[in-house]
Amino acid sequence: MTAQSRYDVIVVGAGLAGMFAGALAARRGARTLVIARGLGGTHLGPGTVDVRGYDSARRLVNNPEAEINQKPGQRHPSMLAGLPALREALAEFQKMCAAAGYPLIGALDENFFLPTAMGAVRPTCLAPESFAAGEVRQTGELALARLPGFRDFFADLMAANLSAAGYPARVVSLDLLGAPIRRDSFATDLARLFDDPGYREKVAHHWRAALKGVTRLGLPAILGLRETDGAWRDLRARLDIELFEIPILPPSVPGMRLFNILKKTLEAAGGRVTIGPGIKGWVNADHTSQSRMQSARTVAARTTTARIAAGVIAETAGGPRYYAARHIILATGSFRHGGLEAPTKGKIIETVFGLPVMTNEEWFAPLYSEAQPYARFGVRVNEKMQPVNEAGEVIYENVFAVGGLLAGADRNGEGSREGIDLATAWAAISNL
Amino acid sequence: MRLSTEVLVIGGGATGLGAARDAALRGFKTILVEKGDLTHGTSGRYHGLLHSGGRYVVRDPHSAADCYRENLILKRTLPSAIEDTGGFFAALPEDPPEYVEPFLAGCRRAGIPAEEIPPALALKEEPLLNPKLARIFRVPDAACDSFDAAHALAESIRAAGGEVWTRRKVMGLLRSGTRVVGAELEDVATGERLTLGADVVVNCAGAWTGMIAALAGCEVKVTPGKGVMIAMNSRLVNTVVNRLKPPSDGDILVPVGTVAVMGTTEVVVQNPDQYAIDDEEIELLLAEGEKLIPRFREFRALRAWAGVRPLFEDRPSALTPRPSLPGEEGEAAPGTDSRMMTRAHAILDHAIRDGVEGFISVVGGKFTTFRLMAEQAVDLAGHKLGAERKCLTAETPIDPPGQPFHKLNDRLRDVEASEKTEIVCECELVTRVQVEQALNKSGSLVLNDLRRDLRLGMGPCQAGFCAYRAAGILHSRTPLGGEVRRTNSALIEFLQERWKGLRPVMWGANLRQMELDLNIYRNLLGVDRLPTAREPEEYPTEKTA
Repeated sequence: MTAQSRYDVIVVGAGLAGMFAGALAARRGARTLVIARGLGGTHLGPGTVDVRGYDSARRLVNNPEAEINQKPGQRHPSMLAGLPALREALAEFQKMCAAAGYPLIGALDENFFLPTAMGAVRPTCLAPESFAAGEVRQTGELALARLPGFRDFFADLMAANLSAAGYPARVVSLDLLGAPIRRDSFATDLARLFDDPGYREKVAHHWRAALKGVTRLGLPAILGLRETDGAWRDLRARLDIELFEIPILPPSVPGMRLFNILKKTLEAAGGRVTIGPGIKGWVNADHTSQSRMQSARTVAARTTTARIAAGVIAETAGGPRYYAARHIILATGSFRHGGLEAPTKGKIIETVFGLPVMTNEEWFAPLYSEAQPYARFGVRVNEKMQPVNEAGEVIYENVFAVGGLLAGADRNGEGSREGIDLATAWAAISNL
Repeated sequence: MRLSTEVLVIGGGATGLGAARDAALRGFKTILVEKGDLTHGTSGRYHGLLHSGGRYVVRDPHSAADCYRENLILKRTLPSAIEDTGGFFAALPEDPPEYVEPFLAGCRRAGIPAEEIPPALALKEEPLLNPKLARIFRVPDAACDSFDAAHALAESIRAAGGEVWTRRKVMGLLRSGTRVVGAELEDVATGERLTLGADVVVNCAGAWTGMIAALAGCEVKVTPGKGVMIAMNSRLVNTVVNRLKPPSDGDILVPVGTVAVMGTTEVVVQNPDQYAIDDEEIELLLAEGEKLIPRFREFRALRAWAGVRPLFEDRPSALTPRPSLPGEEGEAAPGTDSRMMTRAHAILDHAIRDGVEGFISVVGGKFTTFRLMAEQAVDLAGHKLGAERKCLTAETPIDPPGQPFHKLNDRLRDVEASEKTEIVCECELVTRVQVEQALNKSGSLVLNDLRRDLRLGMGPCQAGFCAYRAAGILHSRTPLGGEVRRTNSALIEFLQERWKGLRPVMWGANLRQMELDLNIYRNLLGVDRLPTAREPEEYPTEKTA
């Protein structure tokens, strides 16, 4: 097969891990392509950076650094490359966001305790400034906005749970002023409205009376889709109160802001993002192509010499297309994003290379609300993020795996999702 | 003041609703009590096949004839809940050809029209069917939505002056000498006790009938026969399809709304409240589905569930082997295959049987014949009340006049015609106004009731988005503060109910969807850390009903 395009770095997957890896690579001067079948986890998540929110008994963690440092020998993906790498990854991501006019605040040794839209407390390490005033331990009564006609936020339920937990909250009803709300409108529909300074001025004018006596107001995260916090800053100034956003059901407005920041950073550094084609196989160093089905048999066998992958084959509208790369970063995520697939009960495959996947006998707990064993399934890597087989041997010298594809973490249960994404992406790029 | 009624019906499934409606139409003062929601038991876990009787013509000709008669009556009186899909009996190459003759003879005997059609024509109608089809017969099967049927029956009871009380559990039966004179009830939501006097008590508790009878000191042996079903996330067929062979596991496929239900298995279990769905049962249904529809496994299995049939034999010897049917291999082992037990029903007069007056139990039977069972039970109740009035249910429509036939696109039409209101459940097209109306009407604080009332959360996203919205709407009906634990519990219970149905078929797109849902509820919302009114151990799992 002959290559149609050549890159230094091809990242497969456009979630937080993939986009961050792509941005880092592009900024180092590598000719970089991020290619993905679809958008990734940024659009589904809360738009914060969780490093470690809960301990093994799912109690809140105040100091994530202390928690992840407890067991130094552990194989947790966020710590594979060591604490300094995690620290640098977070700092680099913060720099990128700040440069875009959307600072993420916080520190590795202290979590925010932010309220969820159900009124539970959710620890997170880094958050946009527009979230910070939601910190529940901050004194002063909270007011939460009931927005009649908007179906994805229930201030009364949130206030009741917060109040029951000892964080007094009340509800104020705020009119969206005949905003063109459809029956099926999402957070993104409202966010587009708030991007308009004229709309912000109008609501601020009308809300002022209803907000008499309110010092701290929580709104669902709908204050603008642009990759800066301008809409939030502007509305806060106009209302002259502490104003904070609360992440709600997907699509995630704050998550989309992060995606936009990474995309712009990547493109400004000369990188490319192609959304649409799925990766269906790869090309060996001898220019023979392989699909993951052939591979599942070959890579499962013990490897004594790591091989080289020459590139990936994308399924495009015009047919298969061969992208050659010196380095391939797999950031395809877990089941939700298609990096892993369970074709039938109890079977699991890694969907690009057919890499070996760490599993266990038990997949699902009897209760929905418990830790789910399957969440820890995934690809095992070494400290350079190279996938390894059961014997710990590297399978492809120039293939790296990052983010949700990796084994060993229950990202929902631990509150560790974005910390893993950033730390592993950073480690992979540092090792190129 | 002591409350009293002439007829007290216990059980809010099809049989109980049918009996209460029958009694109310005959002019008896009637109250129905149900410990959960309507169709909480077996009727709500039904595969949706309104039998023509074809399935029973060889083994149980009497049931077959009953089925056909009732099939025609229900199509006439309950069109809002019935989609007249028609049915096929399809013989695949592996099915015993010698079963065809007794099947046709049985259909003739029972008066069930069964017309052979060329396989090529059947494949034109149902293109996904196995093209190796040997022979195929058309019968008047149909698909019935048991939730819709229950609501129509309840409305009809109320219209006739009767009452339907859900979430009232029977704690004891009142006795006066040898007579049952009422029941001691508990309001499940509040724990309040209530005494209800009754001239006749009709026990229609399905698989739980034996437990109610025991409260009157009567022994009724009802064997719970578990049946597992899988809903496929596509309407694979537009016609009910039965395999043309002696009834066995995995031989029916029923189009119900937007899904197709593959059923069933049949295993005797000890306890109607406690049974598991085994991997082998799922595998068997998929394998049989694959025979009927090639590449069946490649379609998404949406959820799996089990119901318990109330099988009744007065003599335990019923579980001994019977001679095999034509085309059947050998004999099934006694005590395991409850398919050997008859689907026929019986009306037990406990006065004759046990010397207990004023008490009737309805046992056995199946959804299709609920009206007939109800008629016979109320005939006996009327006799006991000394007022033998004529049964009206065969002629009186259950649906209010002008009720349209059930159509797939009804919901979309309703939503488009309704006032501007938010869509709460995209998959099943449920609006905020509908949720509020359903909650106001039932007074229920249980989100699972909305699933039965509106199909909320039954679509492909399996409550990923609507559960939060429904919890928010539920909560806005209660005052801020004190009640929030109950809202939290209702949400977690609802999510757990979905989890229960997904867990046995969790692979492919289902697993992908569930990972999104878990991320929303566990990570984004932190639902598992909220205070609840119940301990997590009390929530339903696959091992409980």
